[in-house]
Amino acid sequence: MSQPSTPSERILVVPGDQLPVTAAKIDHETIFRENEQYYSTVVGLFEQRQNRANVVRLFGPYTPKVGDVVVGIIIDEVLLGWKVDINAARPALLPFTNVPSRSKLSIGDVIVAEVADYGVSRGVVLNMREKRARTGRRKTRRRQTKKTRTKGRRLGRVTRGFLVAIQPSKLPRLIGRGGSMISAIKRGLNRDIIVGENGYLVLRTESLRKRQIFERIIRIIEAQAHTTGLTERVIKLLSESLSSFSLEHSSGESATGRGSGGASR
Amino acid sequence: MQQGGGAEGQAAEEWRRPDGRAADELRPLRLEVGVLENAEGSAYGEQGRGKILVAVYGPTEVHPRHMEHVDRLTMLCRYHMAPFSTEERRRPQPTRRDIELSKVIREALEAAVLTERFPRSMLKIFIEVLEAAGGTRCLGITLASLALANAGIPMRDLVVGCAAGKYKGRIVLDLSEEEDKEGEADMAVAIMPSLNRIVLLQMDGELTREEFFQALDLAIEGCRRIHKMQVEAIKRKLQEGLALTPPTEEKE
Repeated sequence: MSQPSTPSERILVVPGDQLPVTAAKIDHETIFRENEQYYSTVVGLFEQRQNRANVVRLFGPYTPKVGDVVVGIIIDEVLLGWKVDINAARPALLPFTNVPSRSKLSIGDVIVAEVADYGVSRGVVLNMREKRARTGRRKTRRRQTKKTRTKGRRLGRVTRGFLVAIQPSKLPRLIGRGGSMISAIKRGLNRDIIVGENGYLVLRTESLRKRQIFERIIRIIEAQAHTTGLTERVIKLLSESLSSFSLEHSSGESATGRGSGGASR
Repeated sequence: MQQGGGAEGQAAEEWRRPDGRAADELRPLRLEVGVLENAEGSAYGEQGRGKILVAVYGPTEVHPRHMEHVDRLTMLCRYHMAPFSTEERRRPQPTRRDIELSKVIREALEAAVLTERFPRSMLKIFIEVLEAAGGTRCLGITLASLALANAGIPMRDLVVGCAAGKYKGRIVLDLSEEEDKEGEADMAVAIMPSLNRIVLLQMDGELTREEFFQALDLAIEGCRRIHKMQVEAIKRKLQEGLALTPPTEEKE
């Protein structure tokens, strides 16, 4: 039942709550310091481990970070590139120079891209191109290791699947500690899921049924993000709904079986 | 009890206000967080007969562009009383009063919001009074800060509003519409309870210097009580999901 994290470590806080910070590093996005005191700026769970204190948000939108891999929807074409909805405060820009020449984009397309730059005045700049090699041989090796990593990120246009949004603040819960939750869901549905760090998810399936199950799980995770033992419950729910799925099939078969049995009698 | 000690204090306890409250008693208050699906953050509240709905949109791009601040968030606040919120139909256009309240509420909230985190962005706060029964600006602020928390906007503190005033010679807390009209003074106070800072202070009527400080202390005390309810409302919203566990499963 109980999760590996000790409950005493996580405290539910609201803006203005004083935090018992002892760690050397604090997350300035969520923790605010005044007169030698620390206060939370958001509603969330205060955590402190390994010299780092932060508050895991429970309400609110996606805040971009350079290096994040996000799923976006192209909403407009502007002078220098595409305007992309990435579920953040403002739409992001995907400059044409950052689009690989092979991919042809149009409005409405769903893409996977990386946050290349996040400037205060510039807003979010995206990149869909795997990083280009610089001149000089020395870096070749490094580039290759990086390339294998970028390969896993699968930047580019999404050609099939369903887009489902989760509240960005609940995303860490969907992934779970060390990816335990998301990999369980992937395994359970036997389908691949692209997880954008902005809360847009793409379930790679054509099956409406799987999409429904997936959406329900997402809504449950959103609603119960602050509770413990959620991964176990989701895994249970997943196996139950999938078995009811297979039951429906088998019961359908058994019904025909019974019918045929009756006919033979 | 504000009237001093001894026999007089006892008399104050027996004395009741038109709606049967004691001098330092709040009207029944109900706060709810996250009631609207379409807004980023929202809150609904009832205080006595009064009902207010608050919605927060954003942060988004600034429109119209000339309102943009390059170094901080542009906050837009609209306090508005619905045409059906008063005894007689009210013209729906914002009045001078609405415009003034929008401004002071915005300034009270700006003190709490970490505006420098969102340069070139805009946040819209809509405070819609559905039924007015006195003290709407205070309830509006209380709810707006809940809606902001619900939208995930980083804030130094929650903001709580509460009124105090003078009615029939006594300093009373949280004046109703009737008391406001007949009373000698009405004072709206909003504070950041953890940081212990006043972010809004308005007064209408006449108070002596002494009475003013009495009323201020009483209003701050009221704010602190409402702040506890604010925190409870947020926690209730977070707990809401628990009731959503899958009994729907059986049907399918």
